[in-house]
Amino acid sequence: MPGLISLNGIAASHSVEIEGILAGIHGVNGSALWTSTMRPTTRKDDPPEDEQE
Amino acid sequence: MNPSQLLWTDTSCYRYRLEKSAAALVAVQRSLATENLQFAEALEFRGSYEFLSRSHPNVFTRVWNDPVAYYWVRRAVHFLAGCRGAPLGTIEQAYCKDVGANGSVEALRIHLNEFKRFALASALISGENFTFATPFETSLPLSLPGTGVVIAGDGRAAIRGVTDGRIETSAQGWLAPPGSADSSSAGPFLEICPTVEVDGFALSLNPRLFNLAGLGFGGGWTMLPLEFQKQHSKLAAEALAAVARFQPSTFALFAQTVRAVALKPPREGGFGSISSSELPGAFVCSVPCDVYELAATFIHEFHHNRLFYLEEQGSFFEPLEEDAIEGEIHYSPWRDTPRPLHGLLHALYVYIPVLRFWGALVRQQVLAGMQLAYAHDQLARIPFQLRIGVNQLRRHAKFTSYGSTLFEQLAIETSDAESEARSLGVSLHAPAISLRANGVLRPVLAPDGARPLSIGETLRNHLESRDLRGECTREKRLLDRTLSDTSAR
Repeated sequence: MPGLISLNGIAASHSVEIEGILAGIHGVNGSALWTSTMRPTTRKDDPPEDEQE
Repeated sequence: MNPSQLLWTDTSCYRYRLEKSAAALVAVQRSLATENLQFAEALEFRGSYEFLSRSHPNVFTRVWNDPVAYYWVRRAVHFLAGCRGAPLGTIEQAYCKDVGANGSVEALRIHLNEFKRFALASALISGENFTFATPFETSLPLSLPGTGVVIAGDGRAAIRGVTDGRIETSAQGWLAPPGSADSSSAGPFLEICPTVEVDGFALSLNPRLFNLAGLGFGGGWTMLPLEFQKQHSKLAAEALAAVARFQPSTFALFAQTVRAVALKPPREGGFGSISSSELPGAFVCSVPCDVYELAATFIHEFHHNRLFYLEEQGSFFEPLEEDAIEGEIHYSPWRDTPRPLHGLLHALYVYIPVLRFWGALVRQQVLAGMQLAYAHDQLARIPFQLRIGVNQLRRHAKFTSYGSTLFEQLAIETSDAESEARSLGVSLHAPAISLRANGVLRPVLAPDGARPLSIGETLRNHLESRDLRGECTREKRLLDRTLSDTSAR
């Protein structure tokens, strides 16, 4: 686990990030809504059926 | 930090994403406070939020490090923005469809209600009492974040809260603990997910965690009895032990970040194994499976997860006319259907450590028979696929500075992978071996079943049938020359 955090601790130490996300929510800066655009899923193809089954 | 450290060993990306998702939770609370939203779910969210804000860091971190926390907070941010007119993304649209919500406001109300699961989990872990102002009505099964506990059953339940470490429902009173006589009833009851333990790391096997609106792949397999997980837990433990033994650096990071894995039958769900950028620290695998192939799948899916963490810190691609994330137009040697550039980059990243894993197994002479033949297949096949991946991305992608740094390092390591394969003496003329749906390794036969195909032939057949835009004619010519070189047989 990457170190302990508390909600109040984050609220106190991450004001810039919080304001950035709020700006995104409020449409002030759409790109700040979430900095990365991600692929929802990634997968391996199905294994083939066994011809002998 | 050099690019290699960034790709393979840096751990700050895990902390960054955890802190960012907690910051987003604070932003959600502040946004709700200023929006003057008068519906009950917004007011009740505040009660749960304040309970979590009072929880000990040990408790909050355990709850908020659960993969579902990121999923929840990201949807909340997008629905809040949607209430102000922002367009909904693919997952949010699927979410609305799954829960029958007509737009962002209704979806937000439903989603805020689901936040109660975190308060419930926090109360369960801390031993503190917590009662909801109105019962938490939710669909079952419900995985409680950070606990390995599931409220199981069919349909819906109304949960009043936690008192003295016990969960109380409106209809049934206290929920029966796992294994008690009452827990066999159809109504809500508690389940404890099986775990596998390797070198002090306990991995939860939790298919219920994937039962999330909008996720898109959490189907009927999430409802299979947990007995299925137990049946295959020995195999999962052996596979994880193989990762620990033959790729200890990956195991160390895996133990820090992976919170839950679900095992499913190969024919369920329409996929082999899967990770989601929205569920950091969780993935799904199919079993039965060869133990070393399952270990390779653990390495593969772990690295998809890790690349999602790295992506949280910055975009890999500059905007292009084509959509690098969703534009499924490029030939991929790993897939039968065209892929976006983002998918190609992911494949390039995850197959480098997979190749190293097979190399370690061969070098340490732990394999024989069909397993050794399969390792040789992978060691010959993957470098050729990696080279196509590098070439495809070089031809078509426009990277950001951050993306370019990572990509160029991957290109260097692809050359190293080719050298590794050469040093192990593997050949594209060797028989192709594949894993079948029943988990057994078998030679790949020609369509008429008359003869086994070589690794090179299967790669060529794939190029021939799947490179519909002729993007890789140069690689195909190179492969043809290699295959016609009889001296290399």
